Amino acid sequence: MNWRVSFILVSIAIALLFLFWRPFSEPEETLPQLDPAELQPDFVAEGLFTRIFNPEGELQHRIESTRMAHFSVIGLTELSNPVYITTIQRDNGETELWQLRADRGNYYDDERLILEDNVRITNEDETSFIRAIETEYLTINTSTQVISTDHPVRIYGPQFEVQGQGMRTNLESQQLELTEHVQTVYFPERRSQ
Amino acid sequence: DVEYDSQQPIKVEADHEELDLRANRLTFRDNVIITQGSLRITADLLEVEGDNDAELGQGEVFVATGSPATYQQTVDEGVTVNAHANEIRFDSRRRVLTLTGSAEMRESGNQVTAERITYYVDELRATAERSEDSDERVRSIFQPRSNNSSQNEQNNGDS
Repeated sequence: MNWRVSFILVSIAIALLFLFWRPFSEPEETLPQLDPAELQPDFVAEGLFTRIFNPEGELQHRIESTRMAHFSVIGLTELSNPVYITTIQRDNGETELWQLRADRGNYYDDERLILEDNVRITNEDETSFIRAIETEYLTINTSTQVISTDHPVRIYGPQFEVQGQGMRTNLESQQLELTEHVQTVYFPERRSQ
Repeated sequence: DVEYDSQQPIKVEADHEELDLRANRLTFRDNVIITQGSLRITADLLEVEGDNDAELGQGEVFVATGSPATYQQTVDEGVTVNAHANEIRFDSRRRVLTLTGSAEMRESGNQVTAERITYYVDELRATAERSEDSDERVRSIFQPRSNNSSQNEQNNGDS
């Protein structure tokens, strides 16, 4: 009788051990990738704009869009026809306005704004060295003001046009670097108009 | 010829490019080739600065450096100018080329070697200067284009 009881006890112990041990050896199951299309937005807003000021009370960025849908569970705001306007304070007191627009955008809680389709970056200052930059995909870090893409890029200046593949630009320091340069063309005729 | 070239777009090819939006400057690096019609400049580094002139308006100055930077252009029927220097500065609107540092320019038998050569592309005219501290005379074998026969034998010996 005795060995039968011990045998049962040992089996239970092993079963418990096995049960207890298995969860630790299993990698923690990550949250399933939630597809926004299947999610219901927490709220939707039409014709909304948000303005962000710096500690000194100066307007730093402004995001406008014709429609905004916010999904708090994944920290995402989907934007239709987004326009991101950023104001750069120059040391000489001047302000510089860059406007970045596209057909679609996604704004994430980690201050990343991704623009897609017909992305166009323009500088509001007429005499600016760059008239416009065009691409189909752009990532904007709204806190560091660094914008980047690995897609084809076209840059338009008063007398020149640059084609490249991939770009990284710091709007604060005003340095733009192409990952791969294809060609730059200067147009003498434009000058005579 | 030079007139036709001056109306063509200026194309720049290079491996890398950076834009300094504050200083209005584009910088090209590695395998730099600038072409405008038959004009062709090669360099390792090219800086293009926006240049605003009250009279001529907005334009660019191309500063190409290399070891050496080279220049070539067909200036007339079958007449090609070749040059090289440490730095070639090309003012595309004033049509002036400034070659600095071991500069040499050759054009069908004509040859100039100096510290600095300034070449007025539209006038096909060049002036040469030696550097202040060197006593080396500017070596310039220039001959009027019309009677270059006697010079040719001597030049052929040189090249």
